[in-house]
Amino acid sequence: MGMVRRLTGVAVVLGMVVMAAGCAKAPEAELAGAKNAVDEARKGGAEAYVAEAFKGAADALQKAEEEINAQGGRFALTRNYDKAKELLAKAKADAEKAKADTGAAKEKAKGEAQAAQKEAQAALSEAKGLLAKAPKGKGTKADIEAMQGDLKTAEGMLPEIQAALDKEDYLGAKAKAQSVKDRAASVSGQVQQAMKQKGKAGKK
Amino acid sequence: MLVVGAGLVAGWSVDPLPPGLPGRAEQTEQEAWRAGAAELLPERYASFRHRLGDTRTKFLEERLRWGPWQDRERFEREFADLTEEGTALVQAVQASAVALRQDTEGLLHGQENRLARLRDAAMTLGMQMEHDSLASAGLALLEARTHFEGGHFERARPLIESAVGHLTRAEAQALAKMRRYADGPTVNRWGRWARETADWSRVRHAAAILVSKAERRLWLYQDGRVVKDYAVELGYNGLPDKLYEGDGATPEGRFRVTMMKGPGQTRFYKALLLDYPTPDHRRRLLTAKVQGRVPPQKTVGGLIEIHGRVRGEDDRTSGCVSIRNEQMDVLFEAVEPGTPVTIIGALTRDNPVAQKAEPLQRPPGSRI
Repeated sequence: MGMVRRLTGVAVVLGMVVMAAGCAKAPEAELAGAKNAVDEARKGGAEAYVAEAFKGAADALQKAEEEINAQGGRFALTRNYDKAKELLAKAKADAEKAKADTGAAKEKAKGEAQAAQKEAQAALSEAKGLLAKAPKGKGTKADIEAMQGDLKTAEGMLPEIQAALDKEDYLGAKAKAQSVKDRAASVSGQVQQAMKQKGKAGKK
Repeated sequence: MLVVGAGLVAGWSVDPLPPGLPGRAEQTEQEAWRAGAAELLPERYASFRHRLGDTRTKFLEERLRWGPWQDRERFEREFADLTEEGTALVQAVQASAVALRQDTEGLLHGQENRLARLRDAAMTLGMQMEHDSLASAGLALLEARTHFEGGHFERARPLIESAVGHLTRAEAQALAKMRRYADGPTVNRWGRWARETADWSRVRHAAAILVSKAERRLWLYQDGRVVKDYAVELGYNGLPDKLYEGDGATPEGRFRVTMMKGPGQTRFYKALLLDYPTPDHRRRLLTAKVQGRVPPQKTVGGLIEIHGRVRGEDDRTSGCVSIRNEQMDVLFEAVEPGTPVTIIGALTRDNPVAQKAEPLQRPPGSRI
């Protein structure tokens, strides 16, 4: 009788173990959490600002999905999702870090673009001021008009810079601001050169 | 029983498929991505990634099988193939990146040169240009250069394309003004005027003046021979023939000195007033108005002179011919009212304007 009871106990324990193993389910909540974190990072612009970190998170998510698929093909009682869970945790943590780093990188790019925007505006103001004082003559009228045209075209770029900033296209905004600054500086240089020549002519 | 048991234990304990087997293939995928595969060869990269993921899933399934049943050779072969494919992909991406860089650099450099040539032509020939087009092209190329230097070729290329459009418009406008300087019959007519001016001077034993706009020279003739050769400045819109008041162009034609203005009579030291406009100039303006090329309110203008210069002011004019004051003294001694003054576009077909026009007329591809 004691033997029967012992065997029954062993059978119950074995049954519980088998039940426990049979209950190993795909880590759906973890998968959804990791997917959501990667999506959030992507929406935040991580692909552009912290590309390497974002790829690490996306790759970990892909490997986790592959692991889940592989385990899903096994006999139910032998499935083990520990590795998949580990990969999903890594994907989620990496994606969250990528998202946070994106914020910092974006702020840095925004700051640089805004600084370039201010420099472009200052260069334009300086060029316009200098042009107003440019030496006037019959022939310089056309040059002055041409330079005014250049500055007007450059000034027309200012709303485009702001539009790029509003769209969070900081790289584009910075490049546009740089082109305006360069053009304005070129006009200033031409006017200063003309002023210098006029000064020399006056001293003859 | 014992043998079977030992076999089973051995089967579970051995692991013939090392987990790191996909490592090298995965590494090539990383290298390809870093080299820009997703942007440069997106389809090939996506296909490689798909195959890698697929093989990796099968590999994981295989690893979950009982040890002795695992097919190590198959996966070693498959990942070796993938590594080879990945390495080839990295090389292709790198080659593609170099080609894209060179191509973009060529395009950018070509358009920057094109802009420089147009600006140079405008400046050295005193040619008024459509500044909006040049200014827009200049800004687009500056922006493209910033993106190019930052390695953002995909951003640089549309900007270069936009500059091409602006430059094509400006170039067409410039060529429209320059073309007649390379036109045989037009240059021949100017040559005939020049010869007739020299002949007049020889026959009448008197002074005559010839001005060529392309060469920017003034020649004083006495008895049919050139006795003085001076550099001149012209109207700020120097190339076209004058059509109306305020166009900044110097008129072409056969004129006479109608008045000699001494100090106090002109702000330009001394001046020789010409009999512009001639009936021919009036007719040309009328025709242009009828054709709608000139607004009806425009007038033909006047007060075209050969004059001296004002210190500190630009030497170019609104349509007159300017020379240095000491040269003006010489002219003043040599001429009198009635002296012929012929202003032509160019003396020969091989003139500076035609030379500047030549590279602008080449197909765009040959300029890059």
